Amino acid sequence: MKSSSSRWTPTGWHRLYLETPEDWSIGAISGDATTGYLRLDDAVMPRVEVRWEPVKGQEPLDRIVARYLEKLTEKNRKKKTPPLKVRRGLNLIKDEAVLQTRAIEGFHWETESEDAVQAYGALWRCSVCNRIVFAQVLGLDRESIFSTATRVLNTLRDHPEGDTVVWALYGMKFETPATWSLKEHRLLTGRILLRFTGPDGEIEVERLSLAEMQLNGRPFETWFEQTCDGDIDRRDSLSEAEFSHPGLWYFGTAIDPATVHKRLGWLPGRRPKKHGFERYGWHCAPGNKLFSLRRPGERPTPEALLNVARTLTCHR
Amino acid sequence: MRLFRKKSPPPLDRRDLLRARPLRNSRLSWEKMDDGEVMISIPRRNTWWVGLMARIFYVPSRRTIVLDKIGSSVWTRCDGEHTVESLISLMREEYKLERKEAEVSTLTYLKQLMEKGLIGFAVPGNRANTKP
Repeated sequence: MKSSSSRWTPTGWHRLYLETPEDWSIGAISGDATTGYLRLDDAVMPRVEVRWEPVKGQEPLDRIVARYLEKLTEKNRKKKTPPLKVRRGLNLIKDEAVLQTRAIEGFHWETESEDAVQAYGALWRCSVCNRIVFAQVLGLDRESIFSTATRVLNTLRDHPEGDTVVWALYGMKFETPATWSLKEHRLLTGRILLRFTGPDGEIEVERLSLAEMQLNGRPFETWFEQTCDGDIDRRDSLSEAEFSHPGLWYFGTAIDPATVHKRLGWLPGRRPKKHGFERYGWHCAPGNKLFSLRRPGERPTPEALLNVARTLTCHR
Repeated sequence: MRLFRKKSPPPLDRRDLLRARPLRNSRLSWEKMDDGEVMISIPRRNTWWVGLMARIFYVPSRRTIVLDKIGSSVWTRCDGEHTVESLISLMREEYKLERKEAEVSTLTYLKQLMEKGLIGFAVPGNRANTKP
């Protein structure tokens, strides 16, 4: 498979981690850490599909693969196209560390229609995270995808090795403590917002594209202050050596949106309450993006947000 | 009923859509202003009911639309030379967007322009009259 990019980039989502050619990016996401689906596309077609779900019972992997391929064959038969060519029991994953804790079944299938498609895939059961992961790398039949597919499948991990989880999407990468989980995500054109929750409260990681348009001629400091919903008590600047861009840190108090009552809000007992907040932000000029990390709430975890901010890679 | 219903053209597949060339409506006049933004002048429709309404109410003979900076850069490239794919690449390079971001925003914008009748698409091969 000839990718237009020779560079490879990581994708991390709900404890899953894989590396793919740079021009493949997330095309579809659903589910959560327990059960979910992730698809990466390039400009032409879907390139990687990953599904994960908790282990239920002890159904042999080869039977699950057989069921999937049967379904695919049935779909193909309904389209009245030539039958699917299937190969099973392939050893696509060579990494010893992966093989130690996982039972793996590799496979390959290809269609013979006009726009023929092929895929190399693997299904495995992990004894550490107790999840079944199904992954396949797709390509057109005329492409040689074996080397790319095996490389992608060999980089795929279903759980983190250390105490942190890597989150990587659309060119942004950072790490959160393994005890934190994703509560909410918004993947919009020009805006990515990820909200995490953990034992020490919540944090938000936000990226805005088209920074020049957002700033609209204002210096970053002005924009950062104007977009802080609250009173700023303390402020400091971030060292460029540590964050690769000059940035700002604000600490203050803001109205907790959860305590705002629409009805009878004027009553003394129903007045909105204030909570502390902490916010880091910087302008990544090479990537034309604005980054903001926020920790609402009073819980004493000043290090949590800083640690996430330190790991954030904003441009390649 | 089938006799009178116009058969709808088959939708464009993704590859054809990316190879299509957006083309400005030649009936429209437009100009680039000093700040780089584009002002498009759209003439009033010449239908009997618009004529009737114009006799009763004031209906201007033209209306103008001003596109923002990014919109203007897309508009000026809707010249029949650039393909949708090349527009996406240019957006990506110019504004340092991720491929998906550039693709979604460009396609949405081109769709809006097409729905307003400001542009059309020259599609490759013999796929004329197809729906993007």
